[in-house]
Amino acid sequence: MADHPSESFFQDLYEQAPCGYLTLSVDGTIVQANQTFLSWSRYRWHELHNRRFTDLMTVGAQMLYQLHVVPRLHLESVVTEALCDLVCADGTIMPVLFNIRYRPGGADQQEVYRLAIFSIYTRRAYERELLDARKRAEDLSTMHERFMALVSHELKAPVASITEGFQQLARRLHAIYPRESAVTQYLAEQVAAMDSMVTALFDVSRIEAGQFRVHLSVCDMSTIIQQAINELIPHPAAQRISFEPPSSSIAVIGDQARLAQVMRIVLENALKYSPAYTTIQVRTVVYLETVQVSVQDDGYGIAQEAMPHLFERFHRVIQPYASDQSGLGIGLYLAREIIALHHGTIEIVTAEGVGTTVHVHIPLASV
Amino acid sequence: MLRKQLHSSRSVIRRNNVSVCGNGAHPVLFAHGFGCDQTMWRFILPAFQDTHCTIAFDYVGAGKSDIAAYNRKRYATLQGYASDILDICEALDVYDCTFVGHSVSCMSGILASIRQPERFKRLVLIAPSPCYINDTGYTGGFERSDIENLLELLESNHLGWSTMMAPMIMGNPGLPHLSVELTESFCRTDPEIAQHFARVTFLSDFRSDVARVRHPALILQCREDVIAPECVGEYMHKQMPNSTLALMNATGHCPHLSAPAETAALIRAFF
Repeated sequence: MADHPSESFFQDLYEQAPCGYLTLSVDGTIVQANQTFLSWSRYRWHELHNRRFTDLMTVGAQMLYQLHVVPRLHLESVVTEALCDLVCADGTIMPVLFNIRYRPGGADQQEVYRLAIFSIYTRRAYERELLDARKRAEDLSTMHERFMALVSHELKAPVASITEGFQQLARRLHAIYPRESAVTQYLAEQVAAMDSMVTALFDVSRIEAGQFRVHLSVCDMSTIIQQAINELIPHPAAQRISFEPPSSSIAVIGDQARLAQVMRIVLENALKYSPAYTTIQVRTVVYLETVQVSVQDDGYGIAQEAMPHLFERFHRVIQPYASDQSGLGIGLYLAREIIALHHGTIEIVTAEGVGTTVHVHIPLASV
Repeated sequence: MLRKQLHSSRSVIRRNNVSVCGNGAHPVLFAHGFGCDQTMWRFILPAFQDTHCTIAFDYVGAGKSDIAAYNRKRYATLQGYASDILDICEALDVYDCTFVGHSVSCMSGILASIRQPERFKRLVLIAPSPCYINDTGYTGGFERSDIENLLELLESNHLGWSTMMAPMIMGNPGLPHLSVELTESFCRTDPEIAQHFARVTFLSDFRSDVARVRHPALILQCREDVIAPECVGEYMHKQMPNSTLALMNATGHCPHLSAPAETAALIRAFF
């Protein structure tokens, strides 16, 4: 390249640039356009000269330009990557990105706006595909949520009836045939498991619909923990839980039933994923304005790969050593939602082969 | 009780990035329009700061507002944005203010003034429109297909290929002489929220509310404004019994940016 490029060099640099160049006067009319822009837009120069640049845009693009680009241009003098649709001379639409810069006037020239324009046909086509794919995924997700809501709603009533009816039947059976109690006990457990799964599914569908509510009042965290343990007591495994209630009550603003549900979920997981000969330690610590409830098991721990997915719906940790693999994989999802509604947090600390501790933090009721 | 009130005032101020300035007593509340944030007032605020108390804010989703506070249900209509205005008035204990709105904010302000009239003394409406879509006997300026075109472009924008609505990147290479202070982001809007806001704004029809305005109103109408054409300004003037229509020399949709002196002068004359 020569040290002092000639006039024709710069002429060519401008006219045949790999992008379109436009110069606008301050009132928005086109005062210069390079060859590239002319050939892309298929206009002849006399068709563009002194026309408003915005006249070349589709209506939607004009609106976007007036609402987004113009204000920023006034504030910053340059706007980059502005999206636009231009109508070519043959009526076709050319999607573009452009940069626009204000160039103040000087001794040699008027103040102008300079634009560099890039046509983005392929990019826009790809964007359309992405948007379509996203729409399809969203539709699928909505359909899935509706299905869940419908199914769990429809199942709730019959399962509740079976549960109650069976409990009555079981009592009468036991009075008449006390030796059959093992069978009725087993059936009672299955019915209770079914009832609990349907209720949990129903809760999840309520969360998805944004209709899950908690009813807050002042309650005592240690009472809540004890309640959860008591609810687990029919299972022999519940004996493994060790809880030393604190000397004074721990007041929180919460939904007692829902918080007990959270504790039950955490305790059930601890029981499931640890050997039968180990204990589950439940501790409470009060610090700053929070109570931390820790549930520690000396179990199998959780694999690193499983950690990011723990709180996802329907994700179950496959634990080769655990005796009980049942469940829908929604316990932790529910627990986290309930805790979030209480403005608390839940975190899980684990080491494979050593054990897992779940920490639940709930803000204390301020006095 | 008082502490709760103080706490909620502070949270509104934070949520809407409210900034209060000025030496005067009379409050003037500036509400930005779609596609921008309170930085768009920066050229005319100085005209009021010596003599008035200026209040500017960002709607949730714009500027430095708390995006986490965005609630699709609340902002599904302009009433949600009117609520932002009224929340701010309550937080700052504002009564009898002058409301200055731009573009769609004019309607939000009108709705707010209907709900709690005591908060406002007068309304200044810059480039307003109660309905953007043409109807029998009414010219809003656009067909439904035009609005769909805009919404489609906004969707494309959102995919991140264009950073038009993303925060301006620091360190502006094209303008190295700008100081650090000036390379802050202007007119930031969250793309997802902007799409929703656009849908709410451009598909809504608030013509029936325009006639319910009781406060004195100044309509600042620009020439050659594609978004809020002159016939719309005239329509609003006819519908509002207590209104003044000022046809400006300024062109385009943002006279407070393109012609701040003329805009400020017209507003001051209205006091």
